[in-house]
Order: sequence, then C-alpha cells, then structure tokens
Amino acid sequence: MRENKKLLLDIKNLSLAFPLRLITSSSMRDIFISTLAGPFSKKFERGSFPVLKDINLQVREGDRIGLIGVNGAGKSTLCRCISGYYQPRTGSIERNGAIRALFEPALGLYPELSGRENARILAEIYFQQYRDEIDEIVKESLEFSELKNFIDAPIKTYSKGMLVRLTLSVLSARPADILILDEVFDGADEFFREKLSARIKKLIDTSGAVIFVSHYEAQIANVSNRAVVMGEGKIIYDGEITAAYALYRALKGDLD
Amino acid sequence: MKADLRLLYVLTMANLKSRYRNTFYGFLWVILNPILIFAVQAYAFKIIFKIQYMNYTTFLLSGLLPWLFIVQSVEMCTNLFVNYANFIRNLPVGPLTLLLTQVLDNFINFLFSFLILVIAFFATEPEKFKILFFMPLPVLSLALSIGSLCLIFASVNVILRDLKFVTSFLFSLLFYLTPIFYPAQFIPEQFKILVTLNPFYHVIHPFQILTMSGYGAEFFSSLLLSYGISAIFAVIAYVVWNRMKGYLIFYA
Repeated sequence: MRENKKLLLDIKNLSLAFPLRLITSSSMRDIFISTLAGPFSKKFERGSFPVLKDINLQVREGDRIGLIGVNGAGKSTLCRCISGYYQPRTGSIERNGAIRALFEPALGLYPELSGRENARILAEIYFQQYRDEIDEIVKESLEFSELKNFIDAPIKTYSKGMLVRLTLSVLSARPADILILDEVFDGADEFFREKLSARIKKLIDTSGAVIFVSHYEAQIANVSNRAVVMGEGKIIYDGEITAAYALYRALKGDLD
Repeated sequence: MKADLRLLYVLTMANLKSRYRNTFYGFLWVILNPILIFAVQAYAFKIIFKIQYMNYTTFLLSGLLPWLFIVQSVEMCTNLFVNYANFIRNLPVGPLTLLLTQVLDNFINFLFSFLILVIAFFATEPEKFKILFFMPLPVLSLALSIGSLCLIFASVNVILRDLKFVTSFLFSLLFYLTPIFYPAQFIPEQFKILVTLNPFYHVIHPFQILTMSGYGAEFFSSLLLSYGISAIFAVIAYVVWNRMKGYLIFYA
C-alpha cells in the first residue's frame, strides 16, 4: 500500500565525515610562531571523524517519520544533508519535491530590522514556490504570532520566546513537499506552545512527508506513523513507533 | 536563477536597511565616513604638507573612494562566514549568496559616495564631465577584484580565525604604500618596485588617470592591467573556494 505512494526522498549509501583540522594551527599567529620555532615541522594534518555511516532511507508521500536517537547520533546532520546544507562525499540523495527545514526556532536574522521586516525576509527565503502569496503569508503569520505592538520593533529587543513565535508562525504558514522539523518546540512559552502545536499539526497533516526530530516521546507518538532510530551515525531501526522506543530505551540504558 | 536573483535583492535590501536604520539620516551617517576621511586627508596633505599636484583634491578623491570600497568590503566580509554561521547552518541560503549580498551592499554605498566625486568634479572642472561615461569600466574591474578578495579572505578566515586582524593591519600599512594621497610620480626610482608589485594600485590607478588626464591611451592600458589583476584575483578565489566550500559549513 505505502509502496504505491510517490517517492519523495531516496537516500542511498550516504556517509559523511567531518574533517578534523585542515591545518594544525587555527590562527595566523600560531602559524607564524610555529614556523619560526620549527620551520620543518608538520603543518598539515588530514583525517576525519565519521558522523553518518551508510545511511539508506526512502521517504514516501504520507510518511510522518519520527527521528529518534541520543545526542550526537547524527539526527541533525542527516537532516542538514537532506536539506542540502551539507554536501556528502559518498552516497546520493534524490529529492522529488521542495524541502522546508527548520533547525533553529529562534532565528534572529536581522537584529536591527523589525519583526514585520524579518517575517517578510523569512517568507521570501522559505516560500519561493508561493511567490504570489508572500504578502498574505506575512500578514497572516504576524496575526497568528500575537506579537501585537512588538511587530514593528527591532527584533534585537525580542526575548527568545518572541523570536520563536515569529519564526514558527511564518514557517508554518504553508505546507511543504518535504518538511523537516528539528526540535522546533524548544523555547516557545507554555500558552503559545498549545496554539502552535495545533498549527504545526495542521502543517504536518497537509505536507507531503515529514521528518520530525524530538526528544519527547509524546510529541513523536502524536504526529508520527513511522519511527527511525539512529545510533552512532547509523540507522539501527526503521519501522513501528512502539518497537522503536523499546529499542531506543534499551540503547539509552546501555549508555547510562 | 530568477529566484536566486530575487533572494539576492531581498537580502541586499535587508542589509542596507539594517545599516541605514531605515532612515535618510542613517544613510547620511554611512556617507559621512568617507567624507570625513577625505576632508581630514585633504587638510593634512594639501594644507599642512602642501603637496603640489594638479588638482589635488580631485586626485585624492579619485584614489581614496575606490580604496575605501576595498578596505570596507574586506573588513566586513572577512569574518562574514563566521558571523553568519547561524544563517549558513540553518537556512537555505548559500554562503556565496550571503557574501555577494555584503559586497553589493558595499558597492551601493560606494556608488553613493561616488556622487561626491561627481559633485566635486563638476564644481571644479565642469568641461570634463564626458569622462564619467568611462567610469563604469574601472568600476566593474574594481568590483570584480573586491568580490574575489572577499571570497578568498572569508573562506580562509573560517579556518584561521585571526585573519581579520591581520588583514585590517595589512591594509592600514598598504594605505601608505599605495599611491592614493600622493601620485606615483613622486616615488623615487629605487622604490618604484613597491608600486609595480602592489596589485591594489593597479586596480585603483585607472580611476586616477581617468580623472586627471581623461580617456587617452594611458587610461586604456592601465585599465587592461586592472582587468588582468582582477582576473588573477578571480582565479585564486575560484581555487580557494573550491577547496574550502565542502569544509566551510563544518567550521562556520
């Protein structure tokens, strides 16, 4: 049944390593000093630290994937690869749709500019396929954010909670083909979180496919229909949510 | 492509608005900087040191404005990838777009401060206004050089974080070594090599020639040299960027 749905994302044999220092020194001053101290000492070092190891993942329309794993398991790195921010050296990622990814809900883009202006910039960056609706998106998002008089104040005066309101209100205004939400509820205040949850639930329901990263089981269980567990850069389970959590807890138990 | 251009426009406007604080006075504040630098130098060298050279104020301005465009762009761009790490890691906006935005922002400021030159020019020598039609030629070469330099410094600075201090120090030295407030003719023969080897001089020189002696053969040969230097900078930038782009995001 699921196999008949459109394949939105096809990841094959994806591996990614973070380079260790390209140069042993990290400043011009160190290079200057070490060159004078030992002109023939080793200046370059090669090496890398593997973060993703041979990832294979297929995401189809209708998938609501809860991505779980302990800190450092590679969840955000995988999401950044999918979004195209990191370019992997090995493996391939095939995308059949526009991706909207959110990693940091308190994005303060231009501190000197107002909430309204920043909302517009965010909308321009994220809603390229809704080009004609940008005015409407901005207007509606600002109303939803309930920032009222603060909308025209520079966002450098905002608290973290207010920034989260602004960013999430804009980002959740329209559905996406592939939506990636990486721990987006952090920082929103209690009252707004409820209102926002409803809106994000709607966003998730109307989007093509969703990858949802969270440390809260309830949130994952609430929105997902499939769970992927990551550990040490690998996918160690892909399937049903309860089973995923049983495995995840066992893993965590081992670590503790 | 069209979407990229639109994004470039939106982000450049955002930069400019941030800098001008959305007001005309903010704009005036930004323009005041080159005017003050110019005024103080004109005072020091023309009135105190009494440099005798054709129309000295016009000469000074024709070298100083491109120089300030170089220095300010490099200063703002060198640490750009580090400052905008938040953007690069979290938004679908490429590092190159961000860099281009910053260079464009400075370019627009440069064009406005260029207006000062034009006004100074018409006030002193209204009959020479024709040379303005040739101005876009050296301006384009200058912009190409600056864009390339900014890309080189910004990329390297991601790994060598103190590069920004080194560049600002070097540029403060280079100001004295580059014939900006004195003409190259004043340099004794045995030191001429310092100018010949100074790439910034070759990029700025066409502005000085055009302003002082118009669009003769001398102007076009200096222009050719200027484009040659820009091309070299562009090639270096391309090589550095290709080497660095894969690593950039991990460090930024």
